[in-house]
Amino acid sequence: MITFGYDEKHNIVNLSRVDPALIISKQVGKSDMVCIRNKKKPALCVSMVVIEDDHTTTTKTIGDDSIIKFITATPLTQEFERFAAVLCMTHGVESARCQLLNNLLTFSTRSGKLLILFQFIFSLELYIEKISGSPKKSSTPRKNLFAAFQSKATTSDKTLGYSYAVSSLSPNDIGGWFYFTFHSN
Amino acid sequence: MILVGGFTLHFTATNNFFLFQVPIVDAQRKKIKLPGGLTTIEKDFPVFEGVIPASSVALVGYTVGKYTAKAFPNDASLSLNLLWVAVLATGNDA
Repeated sequence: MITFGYDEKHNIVNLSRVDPALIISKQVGKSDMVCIRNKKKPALCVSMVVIEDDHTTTTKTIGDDSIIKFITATPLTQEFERFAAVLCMTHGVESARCQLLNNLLTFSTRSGKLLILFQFIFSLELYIEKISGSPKKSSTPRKNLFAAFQSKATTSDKTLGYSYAVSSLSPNDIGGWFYFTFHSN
Repeated sequence: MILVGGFTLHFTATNNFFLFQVPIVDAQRKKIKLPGGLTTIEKDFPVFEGVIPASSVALVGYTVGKYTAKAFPNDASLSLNLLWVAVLATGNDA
């Protein structure tokens, strides 16, 4: 599994093993994504890592109340160096920035806002109430419900649903994080 | 739980009816078939219960995007967009 490098049929790459000539960065939707040549969808990248922190159920609030889920993990020895070199070659740059603190890489979802989601849910709720004609029976005050979700809930992310056609984090998503630069060899 | 015009909507912090979860699967007791198994890993493996302990070995699936950060307009910034995590072995903290 560690030595897995590349599979064109299934659109999967291991950035620490793949021949960089086989992958490119191209625009998918609004974002530049790493893709296998001749493929329209972004490549599914896989890496073997050692987990440090799992924040997929306990989210982190950043910036203007946006919430992300993420893990921090250390790539295996020497895998990171090749990973960085391949990404720099793919993007045609000598160096690039990513979320890297000491030797911990951060893999994160897109940011989301719970309030918007709840606004949608409650709009739906009111609509159902309206069309059903029955009074709403709520055992939980909405105010408290909001508070509970803001402190505990996980948030949505459209990277799920197993579609790789996802956009990347925006610069605003990275507020409060450290930037480090890695260089290609 | 909220009663809505005859419908009962359950949503809690761990409910993924409205709030999708990042798929964390337990791949400790079953081999992942490479490479095709990586595309169906969410369906083929059970959910890993709880938080992944530190020092666990895992296979992570993600996409890589490039953007230009406002603070560093001259540099390429890369985002590693998490799709799923397959836990292969748990750490000592489990």
